[in-house]
Amino acid sequence: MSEAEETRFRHDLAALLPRVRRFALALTGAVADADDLTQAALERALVRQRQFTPGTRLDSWVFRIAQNLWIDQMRSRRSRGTHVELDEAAGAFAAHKDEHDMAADRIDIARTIATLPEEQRVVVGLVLVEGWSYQEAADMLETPIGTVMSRLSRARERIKAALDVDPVDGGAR
Amino acid sequence: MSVKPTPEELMGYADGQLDAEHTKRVEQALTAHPELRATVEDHRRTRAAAREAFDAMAEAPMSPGLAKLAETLKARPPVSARRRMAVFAWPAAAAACLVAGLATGTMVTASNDDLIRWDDGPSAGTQLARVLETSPSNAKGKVVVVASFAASDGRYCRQFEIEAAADGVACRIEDTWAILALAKRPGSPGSYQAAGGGDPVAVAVAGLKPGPRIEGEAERALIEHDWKK
Repeated sequence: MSEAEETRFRHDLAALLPRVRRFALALTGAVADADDLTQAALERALVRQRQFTPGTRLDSWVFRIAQNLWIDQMRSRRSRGTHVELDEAAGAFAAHKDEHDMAADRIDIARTIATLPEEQRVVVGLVLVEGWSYQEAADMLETPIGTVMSRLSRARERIKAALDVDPVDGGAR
Repeated sequence: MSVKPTPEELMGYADGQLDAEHTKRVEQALTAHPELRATVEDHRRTRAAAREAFDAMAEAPMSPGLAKLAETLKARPPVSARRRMAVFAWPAAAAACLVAGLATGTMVTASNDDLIRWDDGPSAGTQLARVLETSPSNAKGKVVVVASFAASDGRYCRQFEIEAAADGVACRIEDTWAILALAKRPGSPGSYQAAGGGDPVAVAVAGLKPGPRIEGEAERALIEHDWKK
């Protein structure tokens, strides 16, 4: 990789950061965890930059790295016998409500997404939050497109249920 | 009478995943089956809700580590700065008594970019930082940590070697590993107890007034707790 290509690579990574971070938020449901994941993903991309084929899409390459890192993290957490504490996640959301006066329905939806099964969360993060196509998501996850769609459909049922029970007079609206 | 679209088609339509011809077919079907519009509308609602759910969180300030990485990515240091030096000693506030004179030799080249970062003084690049942060002493790798110890000011420091060709010492300062000295190996093994002389790493280590070597369980505990006491 030439000097100029390398500089460009780094700048492109910097430009991708907000998107990767938002995806990481959808996966982890908490800012601190999302930032750790984003940092780890970008650092791994830097270390592996020679494995990236110039001319191909950097964004899907980096999203794939982020996604794989997260799956690894969840696996190792499980094998250590710990799991994401929902109360903790709820606490993080509550803290954000105080700090940013986040609308109540958004907190509910973010929390709903954070409690989806992992494989559904990834699909929601990729397709609904970040706008990848079904096929792109299927390629990144190395699953059939039909699987992506059925996970998405199941996740949507939960999101819809959360939207439908939202109190209209919730105050924060 | 058009064929009733499948649930998959309706979702694909709502998400804009269908090609033009397919989209047209679903639209015609929706005219014939207006009751299906509610399903399409539900898909659009869930999409919008998921999209917006993280808006507020995305505006939260970045963690210091991520913010620093973002800066590093944007501000690539000039080539001259990265390619210039060879053997150096870096005076940290913690080790102001260190000999800061630049020696000569050839060690840090562009191929070490992953190891050494040059933004504001040499700090450990991604790869080296990871090893310093997470590897126990003597774990095999491109970078091998030779010894861990606490400096007299309480900071944790680690002496390391890179591909058996260079020695260095770094201390953990504000969550990053600052390289205090790095030198191409002159032929001597460069144990961290080595004192005095012209070896910048040995001089740096001596300047830190190291406590006893931290190894085994104690080192593992430090690694697990991110080098916090």
